[in-house]
Amino acid sequence: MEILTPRGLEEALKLRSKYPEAVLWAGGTDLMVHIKEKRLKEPPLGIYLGKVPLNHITDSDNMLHIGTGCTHAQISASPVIQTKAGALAMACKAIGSPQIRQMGTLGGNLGTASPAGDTLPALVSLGASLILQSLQGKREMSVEKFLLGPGQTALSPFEIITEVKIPCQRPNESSFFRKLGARNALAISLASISGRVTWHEDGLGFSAVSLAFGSVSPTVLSVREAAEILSVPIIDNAVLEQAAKKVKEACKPITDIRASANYRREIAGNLLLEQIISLLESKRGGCDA
Amino acid sequence: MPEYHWVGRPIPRLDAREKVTGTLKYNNDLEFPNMLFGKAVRSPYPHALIKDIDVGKAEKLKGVVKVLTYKDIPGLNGYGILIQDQPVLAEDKVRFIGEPVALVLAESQALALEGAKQVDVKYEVLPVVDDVWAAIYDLPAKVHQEGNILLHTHIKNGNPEEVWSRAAAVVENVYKTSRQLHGYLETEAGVGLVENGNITVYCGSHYPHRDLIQIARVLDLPVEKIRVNSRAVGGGFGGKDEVTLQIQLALAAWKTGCPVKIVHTREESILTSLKRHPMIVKMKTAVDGQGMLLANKVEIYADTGAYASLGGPVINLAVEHACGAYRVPNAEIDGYCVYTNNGVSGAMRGFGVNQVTLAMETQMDLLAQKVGLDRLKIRKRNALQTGDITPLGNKAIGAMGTLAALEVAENCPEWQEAETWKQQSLHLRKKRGVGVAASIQGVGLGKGLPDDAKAEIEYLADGKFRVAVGTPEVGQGNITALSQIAAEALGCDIHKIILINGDTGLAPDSGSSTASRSIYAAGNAIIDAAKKMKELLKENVKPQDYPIMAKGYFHFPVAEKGIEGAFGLPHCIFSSMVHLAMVEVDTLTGTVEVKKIVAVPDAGRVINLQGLESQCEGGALMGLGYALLENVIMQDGRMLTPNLSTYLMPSALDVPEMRTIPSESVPEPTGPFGAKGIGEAVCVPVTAAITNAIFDAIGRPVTQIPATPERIYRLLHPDLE
Repeated sequence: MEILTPRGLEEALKLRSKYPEAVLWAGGTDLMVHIKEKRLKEPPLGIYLGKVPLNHITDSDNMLHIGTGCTHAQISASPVIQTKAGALAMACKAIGSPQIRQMGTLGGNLGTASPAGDTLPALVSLGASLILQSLQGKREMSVEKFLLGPGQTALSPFEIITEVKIPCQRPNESSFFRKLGARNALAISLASISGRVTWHEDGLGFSAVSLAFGSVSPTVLSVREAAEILSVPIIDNAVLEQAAKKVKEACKPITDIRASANYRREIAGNLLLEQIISLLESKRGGCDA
Repeated sequence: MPEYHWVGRPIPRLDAREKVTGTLKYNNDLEFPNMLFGKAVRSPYPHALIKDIDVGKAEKLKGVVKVLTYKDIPGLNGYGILIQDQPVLAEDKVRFIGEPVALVLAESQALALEGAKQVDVKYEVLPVVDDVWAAIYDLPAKVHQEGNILLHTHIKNGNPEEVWSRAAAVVENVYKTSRQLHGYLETEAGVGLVENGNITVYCGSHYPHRDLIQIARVLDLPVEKIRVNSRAVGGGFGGKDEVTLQIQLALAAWKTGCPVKIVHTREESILTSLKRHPMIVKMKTAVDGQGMLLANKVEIYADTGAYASLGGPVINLAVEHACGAYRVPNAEIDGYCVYTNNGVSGAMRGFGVNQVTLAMETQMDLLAQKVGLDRLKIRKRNALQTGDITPLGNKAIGAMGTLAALEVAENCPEWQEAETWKQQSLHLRKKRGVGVAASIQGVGLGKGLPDDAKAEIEYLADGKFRVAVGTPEVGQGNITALSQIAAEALGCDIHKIILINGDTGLAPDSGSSTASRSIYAAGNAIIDAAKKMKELLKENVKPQDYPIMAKGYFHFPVAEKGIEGAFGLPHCIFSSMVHLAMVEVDTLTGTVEVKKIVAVPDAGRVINLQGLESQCEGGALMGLGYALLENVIMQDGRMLTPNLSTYLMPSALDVPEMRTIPSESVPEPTGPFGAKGIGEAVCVPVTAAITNAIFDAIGRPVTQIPATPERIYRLLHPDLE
């Protein structure tokens, strides 16, 4: 593979425009494996984005701006992301192993668009949008719209994902991410959940909820019906069960060597129970569930 | 206990520095001038006839020196420790995916790989035998001409059928175990070379002296012309007991006259290496009202894969250990070792005992529950002791430390305070359980197999002793422990010992580093040589006498009478092992977290506590992986877990707190300073201790491993489709 290494965004966009067939990568944690395992034929030309300065993390006007070149390690260690987009920090912390988190980037996780991509449910539940940039200019698109299917995105062959924008969590909001894998590191998720909630003032329920699930459908799944069910001032067992049921109905998982579809569907619902109960407990200060 | 100077001291590993700093040269690090590289051409089919092998195109490639096929083999085209049914290079038929058909030798790795792609093999595909039941009953095809049952062992002592009706409780279950990968860090690798008409093979091995015989048979050469050096092994766990690359390396070097290196990629290693036998174990067990075992009827079906290797002995060891660490007056045990096209199964740490221990130890918990006895007490009540008649009908003559080890486990705070700990779960959805399991493990190869050991000690002019034994260091720490034994026996400082092992050119045949025997057998041979050396040194030594040589010999204790119809049985020396496991089961997901493992090894007298602790920790993790994660999944003879991202072993984050409490109160009278082998037992009962802890937590027994989150979830929700 011939490799082009742009040093700035302008140069990268020019190369992208000139060689739309070239493969893009930054950390290489997906690409190298795909080539080695022959899931992808080694492309003749690659554009390496690791030297393009896209690793900013800024907070302005209640909006987080995260460069897509940020590594998972950088994101999970960022205090501003931990407090203002907690679910994303948690998701990045759950990826692979320390070595992979040092190499892999947020942009790469988006570009690969795996149904099991750990940052994707977090980004969707947090309401994130992307800046897609080409020589012709910029466009903004929600992550949910961007993800079209396994390995399929709305990125045009002339564009580069340059930034992720996330509306900052307010003090009356919480977010969460949880991944279930077969072991505690280096495991592809069997199912994952992420959510963002706005607390009802009594702290017993929510005024708004967004939910997103990974590994249970071809792409990230938002279950709006479940989110609506949970948007009530007081959450009791009946509400929880009803929301979990909606999640199980909405999932379209596959059976593979890691787990069966039925188990994945159950777990998606149960992870919702676990996470909402934990949230309510943390608010109450108790820990019995 | 007697006082010793070197024995019992936690000496840091003598080979630690070179391994930690990377100065030790492993086989892949070896370089020789004009070295060629070998790459195997492998069968893409699990079962097929070979119609034609065309190497013409490959041999014409620039940089390809030679392509070897079965036609290039001077002697027997077959290997196998007991039965030589596995071709070095397949001739007329392939029996598993990955089986080597040709070996391309080229000037670089890349050229060898390119050459391998150019070898054209024509196959006629045959029906696949991928299941032990089908192999026996449906017979879709014969893997070998003689049929698909490699071995059936039947043992009957007493009559279980007369017992069921009068028993207080009878428990009957079917257990299924997975295909476990050894997962050694160093893949199969080595270099073969010819020097002055003799062959030297550098390759990791558990028994280089036996490799000589296997190589000599294939090359049709006298063993004296061959040397195998296994001085740097990056882990074995039994997987390097059968030859891996030794014959290919010797053949390639012999045919080309050049040094030849072969290194398996991780994927090649996972595809072609031996695996732990998946077994189906049917067990029906009875106790009386006091919890005394009355009878056990066992049927074991083992998937041995395409070739014999040590499948027969593995199944016989499973038969011998099917009743666990206990007295059972009426036992009927049938073991079937069955050929399939599912790769090749062979020796792996525990050697068949792991699978039956999972079954028997689960039965013990179920029986305890049925008669209302404490789980530890029922084990103590039935523990086999020295002088008892074993379930096979022979007399147990070695030291039996099970009862002592169970008492150590019973008295430790983890067991004493188990109920309190279980109540302290932070979440109602997380259920805690504590499990116990015990096992015994035969030390040595067993009746009728060559088990004796030789050792040589030379007193050198500089005042040091060169101590040579054949048993290689495969990571278990025997360089350190054997040096301690030598220093103790000679009465010298340990730094005066130069321990040489694993090289047939430099050390005598001390038997294998397998079957938990290297410390026991080689250690005893060293002690014998040391006694003779001390006698020699009593005389006035003159400079011209150096070096002074003493040879030691150890005759492995063997039962007077063998078990009829069961080659290799019985064993005489047994080490016991007890594990406690503390787990937390998340009932919302089925995930099991092991919080703590307590290991109580009955190693007799401990030579090196630090070494024993390392063995116990590594062993517990191997047993933990076996309990919860590890499974080579085969479908239609194809491997669905071809790499370490699909075959999951425990990661650093899956390691629980671990504690080792040696039970030293029952030294083995025939052992070196009272020691016995422990290298296998450390990974055996831990699996059942974990599954029994899950049983304790959720109230349902685990009968199939790995106990994945989904399997546990389904135990909790049997109605889930």
